[in-house]
This record gives sequence, C-alpha cells and structure tokens, in this order.
Amino acid sequence: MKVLWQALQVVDLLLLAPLISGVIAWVVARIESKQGVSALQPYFDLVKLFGKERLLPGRAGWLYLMTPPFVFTAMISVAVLIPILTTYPLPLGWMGDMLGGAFLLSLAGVLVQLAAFESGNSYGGLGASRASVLTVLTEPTLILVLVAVALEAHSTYPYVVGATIRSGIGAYLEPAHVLATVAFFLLLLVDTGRLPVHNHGGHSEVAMIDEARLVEYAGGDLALLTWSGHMKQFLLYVIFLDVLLVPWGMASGPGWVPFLVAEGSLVVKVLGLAVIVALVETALARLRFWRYSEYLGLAFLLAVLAVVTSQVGGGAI
Amino acid sequence: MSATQAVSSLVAASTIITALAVLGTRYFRSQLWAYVWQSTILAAYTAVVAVLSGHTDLFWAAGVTLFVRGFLVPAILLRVARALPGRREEALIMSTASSLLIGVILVVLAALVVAGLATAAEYPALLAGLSVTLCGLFLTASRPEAFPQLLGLLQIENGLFLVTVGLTPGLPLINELVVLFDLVVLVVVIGVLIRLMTSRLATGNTAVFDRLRG
Repeated sequence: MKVLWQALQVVDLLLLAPLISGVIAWVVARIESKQGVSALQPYFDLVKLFGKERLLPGRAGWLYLMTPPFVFTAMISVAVLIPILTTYPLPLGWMGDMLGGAFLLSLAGVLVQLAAFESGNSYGGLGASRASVLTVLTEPTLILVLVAVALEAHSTYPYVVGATIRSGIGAYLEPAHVLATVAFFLLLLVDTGRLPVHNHGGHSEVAMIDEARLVEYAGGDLALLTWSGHMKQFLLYVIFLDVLLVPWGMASGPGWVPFLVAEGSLVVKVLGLAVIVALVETALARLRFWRYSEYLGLAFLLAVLAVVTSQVGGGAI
Repeated sequence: MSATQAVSSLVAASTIITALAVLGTRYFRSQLWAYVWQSTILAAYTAVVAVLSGHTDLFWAAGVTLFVRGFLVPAILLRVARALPGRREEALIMSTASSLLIGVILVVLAALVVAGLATAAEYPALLAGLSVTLCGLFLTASRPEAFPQLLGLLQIENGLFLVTVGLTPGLPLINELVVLFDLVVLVVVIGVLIRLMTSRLATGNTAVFDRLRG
C-alpha cells in the first residue's frame, strides 16, 4: 500500500507539473485582458516535442547526451523524498533529507549549465553563465532556510519539520518560521523562472536565462528538459506548501478516503499558489541584471535573520 | 504559548521584514508601499490587542492608525514622490546590500538588548519596536535623499507606537491622538520643504547643502 502511494506521488508529479505552468500563463493572460491559450497548452507542447526529430549539435559529447534523462531522473528522485501526499514517511522517504533534495535539484541545474556550455552555442554559454551567477546568489539562501526550519524541528527530514509546525499555533507563527517562509517565497520566484528575475516566455536574447541554456536541444531531449522544468517548479511549490506555509490536508492514515482528500487538497493548494504567483508576476517589472543581488540579498538576509532569531534570546520568541 | 504571544510573534516578524524592505530597496514607490504595509500591520495588531486585552478604546486607536498612517500620510507622501524630479530611484552613499546587512545587525543587537530587559510575553513587541526604530534611525542617517530620511522618521514613530501598544495597552489612544497632529504636521511641512527643494534646486538630495557649511 505504502509503495503504491509512493508511486502515486511520482505520478502526481509527472501529471500535475505541466498544469501549473499552464494555469499561471492562463491567469496572467486573463489579467492582461487577453483570451489566453488553454491551461493545457504545456501538455500539447510536450506531446508535440516528443513527436519531433532529435537533432544534435556537431560537437555534442556524452555529457550533452546524458543530461536530459539524468535531470528527469533527479526530479523524480526528489519526489520520493518529500511529503507530497502523506504526513508519515513512505518506504524510501528516509533515503535523503531536505538537503538531499536540494542537492539533487542543484545537481540537475549544474548538469544543464555544463551541457549548455558543451553545445558550443554562444547563447547557451551566455545563459549558463547567467544561471551560474543566479545559482551562486540563491543556493546559500536555500540552504539557510532549510537550516532555519531544521533548527526549529531539530531534524532535517521534511516529515519531522511538517509535524513540528503542525504541533501548535506558536510554532507556526514563530518569527524564525515566518522569516524563513518569506525568504523561501522570494527564492521560489527566482528558482521557478518568474519575475522579477526571469522574463517567463520572453525570448529576447538580452533577457533569456533558462531558455538560452536549452537553445540547442530539440525533440525528445527538449521535451524531457522542459518537463523537468515544470517538475522542478512543482517540487518547489510542494516543499513551500507542505513543509512551510500550509502543512495541513495531507493523509495521516492509510485507506482510500484520506488519499482522495490528500489528492484534492494538493491540487487546490498548488493551483492556489499558482494563482498567487500569477498575480505577483503581473505586478512586477524585471530587474536589471546588476540589481539581482539586491533582491536576492534581501532573501538571504531574511534567512540569516531566521536562523539568528531562533538562537538569540534563548528561544524566548 | 498564549494567543497574544503568538500574534505578537507574527507581528514582530512581519514588521521587521517591512523595515528591512525599506532599507533594501532604492525605489521611492517600493519604500512607500513597505511603509503602508508596516502601518497596516500595526493597525491590525492594535485591533487584535483590543480584542484580547478588552481595552475597547484601542479600536479607535486602530482605526485612527489605519487612517492616518496607512492612508493619509502615504497619500501626502505619494504626492511628494510624484513631484521628485523625474526619477524613480534615489542616489545612495552606501549600497542597499550593505545597508541591509547593517539593518540585520541592528535587529540582532535589538534582540540581544531586549532579551535582557523583557519578559517572554513582552519580548516580541519590544523587539519589533526597537528593531523598527533602529532601522528607521539608520535609514535617516545613511540616505542622502530627503524622501527616505522622512520615511525613516515615520518608521521611528511606528516603532515607538508598536512598543506602547504591546507593553501598555491602556495608553495608545491618548498617545495616538497627540502624535497624530504631530505626524501630519511633520509630513506636510517636510513634504513642502522637499517640494520647494525639488523646484528650486531640481534635486531631492540633501548633499547639495554640504557646501553651505562654514
């Protein structure tokens, strides 16, 4: 039974992930008084890409070839580690903690950057070097947010952290937790390719980051990487919602009824966050490249403050 | 942990975030919005304290706070910001990243000081009040432009009000009524000064006055 649920977490990830991007694009289009393409468009795109011919640049080596399946696998592995449907750990849930999940996400990012350099395309290199700068600015914040919530729960396992936050209103409203949540939200916008850093769907060379890294990929390879992009977004949303913001609604026992409730609440929570992100995105303008550090500096310092407030004052807060 | 304490913890974290947000941005509009959020949180906090402590006159204080600090003062400031000469961002002496870093150090300092002064129940309100006050003071001291200096003064005011609501729930109505006139007059006078400055000197930067020193 538990094994089945674990498999269903991965199925949820695979099936729901493209929907989030579709819903955000649709909401943004509606706010801009446009008709908007269907929220299912990302699925159509994936089907189309899988049907296309696979083309490779002349200098593509083994790294370039293995990156798409490797990145795809990394995303699926993260889904095994984090609480998507249940409050109790599933059989493979103890394989890695939150830092393990963060490492897998970073590993996927680094592989894509190396592959972009290897493709020999100048835009690929440009996108990869920009993405490296962003990685340098975001990773410390991510680790510190995880450290802050881990200090609160005395454990780095997401299941334990969720249980600690559910234990009482005091733990939920604690400054360390509030600051870490806000810092993670600022980070979430950057890591999922949203404004004020990424211009999602924009394909002008001066502003491209994520699209530039994938510029040489085609066909099934591009489909796998695009799908992985959707999945990374879904995973970060789930970590944000189920570990930090609303760790409620997941199944706490066996049986089909709690399972269906958990599925329903997952869809509602994730799509709710997608709508909020769409609203935020329509309200912001893209920052200049040299201003990224100011935005991400705020996120970093909020995370530092989260760690400090949990330690200073003897935890009296 | 009691309900009051949980609410003050949340308020402490969110007001500190807004105070740091003002330090971390160089856009006038963003600074103004962060101030509006800070004032709104303050008004909501006052209303919650009114419910929890039973001081019904605090509802008036909450309403007055929301109207004056959350609407009237920002509306005047928005007019001032519009009159600033064609620029949306301020000149800086120190980068926003460095000011943020110093802001965080000030918050930690406040936490260390308050930890020795307050009981567990008073801790969050006193911490937030002191942090906001110190960040406001630092904003006023570190920015060359007149607009953020004014915002710094208003933040100091907010921080002190937060402390009075959190520590002495009976006092804030009188306090708020007295401060209200002070605040509005302050904002109007400094607003007029900034507009005069921008129309005569075509800048909101107080560094131009340095050459007047003997």
